This record gives sequence, C-alpha cells and structure tokens, in this order.
Amino acid sequence: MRKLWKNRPLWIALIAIVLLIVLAAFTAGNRSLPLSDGLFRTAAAPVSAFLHSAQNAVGDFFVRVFNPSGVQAENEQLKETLLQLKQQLALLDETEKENARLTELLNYAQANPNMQYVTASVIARDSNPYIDMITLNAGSRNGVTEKAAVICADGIVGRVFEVGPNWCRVKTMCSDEMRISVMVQRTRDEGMLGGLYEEDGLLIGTMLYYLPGKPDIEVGDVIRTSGIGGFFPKGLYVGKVLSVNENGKGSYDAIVSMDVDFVHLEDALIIVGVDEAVR
Amino acid sequence: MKRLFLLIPLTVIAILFDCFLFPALSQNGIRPLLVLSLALAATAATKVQDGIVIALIGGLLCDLFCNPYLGFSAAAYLAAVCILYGFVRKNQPKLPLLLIFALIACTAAEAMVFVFSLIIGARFPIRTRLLLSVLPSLVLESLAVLPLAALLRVKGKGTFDRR
Repeated sequence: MRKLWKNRPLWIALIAIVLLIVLAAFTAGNRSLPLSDGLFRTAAAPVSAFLHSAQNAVGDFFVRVFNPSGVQAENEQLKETLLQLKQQLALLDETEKENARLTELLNYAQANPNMQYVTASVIARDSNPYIDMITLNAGSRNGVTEKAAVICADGIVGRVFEVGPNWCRVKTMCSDEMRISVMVQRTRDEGMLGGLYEEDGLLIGTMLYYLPGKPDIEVGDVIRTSGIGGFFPKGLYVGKVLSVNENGKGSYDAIVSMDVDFVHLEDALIIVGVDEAVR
Repeated sequence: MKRLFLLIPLTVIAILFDCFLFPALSQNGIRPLLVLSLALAATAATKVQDGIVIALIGGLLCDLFCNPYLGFSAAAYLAAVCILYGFVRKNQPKLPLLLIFALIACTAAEAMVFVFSLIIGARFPIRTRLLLSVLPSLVLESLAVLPLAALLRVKGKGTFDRR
C-alpha cells in the first residue's frame, strides 16, 4: 500500500474521488449539521459578529467590479429618490411655515372672540415699493363686504376696497390715501392716522395728525384704533410711536411705525362681523 | 519533517478560515476555498501526496462543518489536485504559469461543486452566481496558490525530495 501510495498516488486519488462522490450522494440533503450548527458556530458567533462589519465593504467591492450596470441603475434610482425626498422636504418646510402663520392668526382670532373673521391668503400684490394694494382669495361668497377691516397678528393691514365673488382687493396702510381714526392707548388722546413718512426714500411709518395742543405722548406709546368712523372696531393694534414733533401750527404730529410686514404678508383675517359691545 | 510542521498548521488555518472566517465575510456567495488553494500549492511546491492528503482531509472537514453533504468538496479538491499534477509533474512551472494552471484546476473544482449543488437541488440564478460569486472566488483561490506555493518552496527547500 505504501509502495502504491508512493508510485501511484493518482490512482488512489481517483478511487477516493469516486468513493467521496458516492458518499456525498448518499448524505446530500439528509445530513443535519450538528457540529457546525452547534458547538463551532456558537463559539464563532462573536467573531462572526465582529467580522460582519467588514462584510459590506468587501461585498460592495465585488458588486461594483462585477456588476457595474446594476450599481449604475441603483445609483439612478437613488438619485430619483433623493430628488423626490428633497421635493417632499421643501413641501414639508412650506407646510410648516404655513402652519405657523395660520396658528398665529388663529391665536389672534381666539384672543379676540367678539369678532367674526374670514381667513384669506394673499394671491396678488402691487409691485410698487409700498404695496398699497393687495388681493386676497376671499370674496362676497365668504361674506366679505366693501370697507371691511383686514388685519393680521401684527396689526392692521388695511381695508377692503373692491369685492368679487371669490376675491377682494385691499387698500393697505401703506397707501397714502388711507385714513383711520386712532388713539394713544395710554393717554386716550385721539388723532387721525394717514399719510406716509419717508426718510431718504425709505418708508419709516405713518403720520399721526391732529393730536391735541400739548399731548402727553411718548416714544413707544401704543396706538390702537378708536372705533370712530365704524370701519375698524375699537382697540385694534396699529403700531407704536416713533417720534413726536411740533408741526408749526400749534399742534403736534407723531410718526407711528407699523409692525406688519407688507412685503412678506401671506395670510390675513378679514373682519366680517363685530359684536355690538366692541363697536 | 519540516514541511509537515509547515503544512499541518497551514491546513488547520485554512480549514478554520474556510469554515468560519470566509462565511462571515462572504458577500453574494464569494467564498475563496483556501484549503483548495493550499492543496494545489502543496501539489505544485512539494509532493502530490501532500496535496492529496490536504485535499482529502481538508475537504472532508470543510464538508463536515459547513456543507449539507459529506465528501463532495474533498472529491472536487482531489480532482483539482489531479488536474494540476497533470500540468506540473514533468517540471516545476514558474509562478505566472502556475497561476494559469491553478486557475484551470480551481475552475474544475468549482464546476464540480456548482454542478453537484444544482443536482442536489440548490436554487439560485446561475448567471448571477457565476458572475458575482464563482468567478471572483476562482480568481482569489488561484491568486492564493502563488504565495502559498512560494512559501512552501522557500521554507521546505532542501528538506524533502520533490516527487
């Protein structure tokens, strides 16, 4: 046998191959793996877990090398998914901002329950620097009437000037023609607000006229609607006093700054009904 | 004797790698058969008997630990050893030529395992498996033969008679 092994190893190998194939044919499918499933794999589990982290890198390398078209297709699909996710993110961001705006309006409406409102969005605005006219997407079908007051959480926006079935045009406080009756909250001095005050071509605020002879008014005083005239309910926030000046006619004028950002205004409340107590 | 001190630990390491390390690292079925590479390297660098013993014992142990059949890996490894021996028995080839011979022998072994897997009912897309798993495995196995053969030639030099 030893001589045969030295001289004819190939014959022995060939016989072994045949026997092994027969053995494999008999054992195929019937053999459970007691050793590998039991002792060895249990012992090797921690090592396998550690090595598993390197698995993706090794596998990805060969996938890239041997299946470039698949990787390219996957890449295209991922790009498309990324684009969709970006669009969804932008939509989500927009929805979040809209939610914040509407929440602000809702809070205002809840804080002033004695008025009935219609919420509307700005659908057009004049392109001049002062935005003296805007168009909202609510009209007569929603109960909007001419001269209805338009407000937002930051103060008075303006007054409805023209009404259509599902739209209305609003003359804003930036319009030089707007005149509303206001009062100083602290002193209850009344005056007429209207006309723009500019410095170096920039809109600073609106003018407050017809203050009494020597008014007790200070910078920072809050200006609210007086309710006189009937267009604006009493007590709506208008703005704050920026400065007080003698006008040379024996009375004083003040400059009032408004907090409303007319350029970025997107939603507003149209007052369509006021309880008698407010009037 | 010196070559036995080299071959035995190498065989043990190769079996451990084949049974435990490579399955853990395997992706898309790429599993180089280090026992096969070692058997081929031993056939090319020392004696065909060494290759036969490594293929037989290593293959059987690999089947015992990892495969649902017993003996077929050993048969495939033995077949590969016989094929390589057919190429190298006349003279000792240089490493680049050995790479080609090893590639042919490994292809034969992988083909046997592949066909046997199909016969016993393994289900996988053949084209994908060929591209993603068998071909890379073949390349790795063949490449592994070269350093192993070089190691066995250098370390075992002068301590045994080649064939």
